[in-house]
Amino acid sequence: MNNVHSARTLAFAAGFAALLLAGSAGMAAAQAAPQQSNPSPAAQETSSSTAKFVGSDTCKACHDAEYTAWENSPHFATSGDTRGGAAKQGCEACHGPGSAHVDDTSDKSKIFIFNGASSETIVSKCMECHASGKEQMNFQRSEHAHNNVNCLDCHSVHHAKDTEFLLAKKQPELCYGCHLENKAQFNMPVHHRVNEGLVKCTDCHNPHGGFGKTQLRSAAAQDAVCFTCHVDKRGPFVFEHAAIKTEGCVACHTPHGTSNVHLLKFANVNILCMQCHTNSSFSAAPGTPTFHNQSTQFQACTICHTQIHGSNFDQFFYK
Amino acid sequence: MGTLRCFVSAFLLAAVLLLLGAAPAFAQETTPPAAAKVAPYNVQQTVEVGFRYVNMGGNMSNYDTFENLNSGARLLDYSLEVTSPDHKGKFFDNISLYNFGYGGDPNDLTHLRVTKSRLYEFTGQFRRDQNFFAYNLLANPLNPSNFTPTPVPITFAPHGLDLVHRMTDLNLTLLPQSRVSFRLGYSRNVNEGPSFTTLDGGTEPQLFQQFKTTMNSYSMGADFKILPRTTFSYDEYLQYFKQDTGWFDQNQTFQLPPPNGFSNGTPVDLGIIFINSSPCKNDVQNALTTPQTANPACNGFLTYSHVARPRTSLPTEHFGFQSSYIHKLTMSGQLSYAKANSYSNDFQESFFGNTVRTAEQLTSQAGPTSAKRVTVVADWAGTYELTDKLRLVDEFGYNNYRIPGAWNFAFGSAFASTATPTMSQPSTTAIAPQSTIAATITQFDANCPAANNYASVTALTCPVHGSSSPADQSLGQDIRFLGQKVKSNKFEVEYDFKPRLGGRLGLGYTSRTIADFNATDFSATGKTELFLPGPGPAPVNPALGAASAQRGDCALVAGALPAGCTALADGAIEFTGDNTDPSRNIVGFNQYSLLAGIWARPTDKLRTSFDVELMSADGSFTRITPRQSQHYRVHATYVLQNWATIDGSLNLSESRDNIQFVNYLAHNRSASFVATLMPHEKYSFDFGYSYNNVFSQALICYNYGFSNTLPPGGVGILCTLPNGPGDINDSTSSDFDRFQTNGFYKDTVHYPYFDFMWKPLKRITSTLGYAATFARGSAPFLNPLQPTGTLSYTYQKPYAKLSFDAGGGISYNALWTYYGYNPRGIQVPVISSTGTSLAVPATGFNGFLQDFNGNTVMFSLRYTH
Repeated sequence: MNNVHSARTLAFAAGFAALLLAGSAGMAAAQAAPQQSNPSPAAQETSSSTAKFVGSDTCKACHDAEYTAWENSPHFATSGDTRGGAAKQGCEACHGPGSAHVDDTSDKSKIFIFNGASSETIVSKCMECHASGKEQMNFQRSEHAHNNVNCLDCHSVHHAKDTEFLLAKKQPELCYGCHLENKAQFNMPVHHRVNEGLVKCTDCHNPHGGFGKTQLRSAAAQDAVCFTCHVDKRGPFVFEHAAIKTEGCVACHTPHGTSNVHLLKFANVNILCMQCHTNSSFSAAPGTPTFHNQSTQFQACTICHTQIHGSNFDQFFYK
Repeated sequence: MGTLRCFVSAFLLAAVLLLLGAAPAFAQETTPPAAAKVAPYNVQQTVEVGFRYVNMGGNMSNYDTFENLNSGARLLDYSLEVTSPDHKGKFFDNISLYNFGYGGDPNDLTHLRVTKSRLYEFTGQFRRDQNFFAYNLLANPLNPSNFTPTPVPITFAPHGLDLVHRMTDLNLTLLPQSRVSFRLGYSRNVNEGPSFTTLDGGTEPQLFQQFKTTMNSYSMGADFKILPRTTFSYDEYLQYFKQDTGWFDQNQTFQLPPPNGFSNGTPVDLGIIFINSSPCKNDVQNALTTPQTANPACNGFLTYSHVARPRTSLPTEHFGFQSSYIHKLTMSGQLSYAKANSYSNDFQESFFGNTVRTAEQLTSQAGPTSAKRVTVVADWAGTYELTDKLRLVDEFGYNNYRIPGAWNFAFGSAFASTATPTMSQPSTTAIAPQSTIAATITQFDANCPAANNYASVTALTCPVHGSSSPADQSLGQDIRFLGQKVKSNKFEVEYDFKPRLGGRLGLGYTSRTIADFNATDFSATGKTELFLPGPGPAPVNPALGAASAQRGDCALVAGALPAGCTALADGAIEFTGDNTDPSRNIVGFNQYSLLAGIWARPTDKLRTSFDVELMSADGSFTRITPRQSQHYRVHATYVLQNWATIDGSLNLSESRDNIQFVNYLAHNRSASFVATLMPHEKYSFDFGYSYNNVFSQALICYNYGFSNTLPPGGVGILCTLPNGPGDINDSTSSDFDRFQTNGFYKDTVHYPYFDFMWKPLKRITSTLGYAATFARGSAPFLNPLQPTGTLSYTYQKPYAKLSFDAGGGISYNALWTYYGYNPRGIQVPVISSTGTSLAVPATGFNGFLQDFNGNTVMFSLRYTH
């Protein structure tokens, strides 16, 4: 029955995706022609390749609001950095040389404008400076990049709601904009304190990608990011609960939020444990012995096996 | 009445504040005041202070577990921005500081950032998280219903806690834009507070646990941008962890009857779970005394303490690089080596009481531990642009860790001096564990001078053992090893079909090898187990030791002592050998993945993406390690108008280990959409809905009672799963006690929300919102008295906010939030004079009800200058 249900769900998903993508692809193809007539950002740069740098003060004369916002942002630091020359300074470090635009302010194609540019172009523009950063160095392989999410989908250089990272919205609302299912999880009774502002999405995930799945960060010792805060669960222990180290915390926990206490995947811990620890030769985990009589006191495995994350003094995690 | 008075006071306060603010407001502009100039800086501060009234009814333990927002004055927000417009500050260009939560809220935060262009960046953050937990899922300890007298109901969470977690992070970057920049960091992580735990030992006592862990982390690193378009980085992390948590039994709520070696009224802890089996059929001998009088023949704790202070040092070296130095090739990588050393030299555990099964009355356990974790991680990734449209991406990963551990333990037990042990003062001649086996035997010989004449060994002078009694003394070494080596490679081809249409296709491969090894070694010098004899007849064959010493590792096998056991001259038996677990195993398997994705932005208004990852493995480590998994994600965003955006996503994750006898199936399916409408600056509407369905199942076997009768209303058939290494009763008839069922968990959650903002007047902003979680779940009940826990509930949180801008940077805010947590159809065990039964709780609070419902109102004043 479950297989039937599963197949139906998958068929629905596949159908939905196919419909969506077919429509999108069709529309994309239809849009291709006008797109060609609309010069690409690269072409824009080419068209203004004869332009010269005019300096940020010139830009300020017309774009005072944008300039003021930029002036109060970390990007202002580029104005004092002369090593890269004018091409790496001020407004023109991102928008390119502005003399052609100054000469003909009605023609926006004579200067690079991010609005409307392709994700690849936007990313490559930003990465000219930011690729070397530890945070952003893996962006082009990130899940976000794979799904055509670019820098400006999250950051706003001139209208940021956050002065440190120039985010377009503050966390977590910024992330919820696309990841609504996570908003639902963080609103469940038991959740990490993300909505309360104590923990940020970016404490655990690197939105710019990395080497971990789901863009997860690693703790300093290259183990699970969970151990950054939950330091007492890290060990090493003499008696390790092997699955924690091999399968990860998510083998038993739902990290964002859940109905169940301690962020467990099940309402009743016994069944969670017995899914691995049952009488079966098809598991590295030992089964529950016969004297674990569910009719009396063995109503919650963790009543006895309290040190379930690992112990130095007991192989059964009693103490 | 008090609550009403509170609300009236609050409204009066709000009214006064509003009137005070409103008077000048009509002559003022609503725009926030410009930042003050304190040359060469602009300074802007915002402070919001308020008072929260909470009127909550129902289970306050649950409310505090989930929300813990209580009445009182609060600093809701304080922020400070100091900016040098021309970036020519002497010591800094910018200071950014914000705080919230101070005054009693469970979550407080302070964040400070100070920068001086090109010279340094400093960030400091302090976070405080009060973690209160008292959600009582064990209101019924499942004590038998035929108990006489009625057992004391457990009305608290046995593992309740009230911890405060303080986390401090300081980071300084020097010369951030130079070719060589440096990083320094310090973090401190302290988690401490009172809590409770339980212990397995005959009964399960609730122990007071003064919890405290501390982690100090130091880091230093540097970035080197020596080659063009290339950065090398090196970081050194030094982490030091210490745990100073002690366990003590402070829950002696019963008393012993006289005489039992004590004066009348000696306090005793019967634990939270009563066995209700012979010899102590009734744990409570007399329920009419105060406190109730315990049956001294039962399991009980008179004293218990557990002290240990594990210490761990964890240095890590990390090397990383990023480069696009080679034309069309972008690379990044990292190499990391970490070696954790953990030790505990002062573990000491002592127990005094009675354990019926083993006849132990006093135990002492100690011994140093040592564990290491050596981790080597290496990752490399490269992207090569074959053409403008075609890219090749490869990622290689290597992760290898090994965790060897050892515990040199010393364990000693003193046993009862009667055949039917009761909680009593041990005889002064009882054999207490000594520092060495030889010393224990010397003491035994001194206390039992007629040891070689077994008939004359009396119960008054020597310990009485049962067949389940452990060794009188154990000096040994537990050795453990866990290691895993993971090698993975992922290769993808990315292709941009059109400027607005792209996709990727790839293959992934992961090889996992896991080694797990356990041994208990008594073979080294000084490592041995000692089994002392007790009163009884002389052995038929003295070469086999006394009959009462033939137990544990030295229980006779086919009438002979097993290998490693030696009968001593005085009837004791010594075990010297290697109890290496033959079930050591090395598991290796491979996982193969197909990855594909496509994205499209057909217009500026529509963007879509689709991802799929299909995985198949040729083995698994646990029963829930999937052999097959599929993950599909679809996401679309459409901008209807500049003021209207809708976003939808579908996320399906399926995993299986559905081989025979396991049949593990799991899925996590979610669908969600959100719409944001801002047609006018005077109003906006934001609403969404998320559906999430979680399912997991695997065949499980369990025991219920000791007959072939299913539990009342129970589920399952007799277990047919083949025996595994952990089934210790493979060949016994008690195997038939095992029932087989489908261990599953289903949970469907609906999450609707909306947020409506309306500005009826220029100075007034009102917000009305609602969010709710409707969870409907199910799971099998292995015991009909098992609490349903959190399976089905409704949690609603409507809210309304009114904000009045009084001008001059002053605004008044009032926020009302309703919290309604209502488990549905929940049955809770009710203990009555006729036994324990399940019932849906009646309206009203009966001590077990999990509901809470109530209002919170927050009045605040916000001032920006």
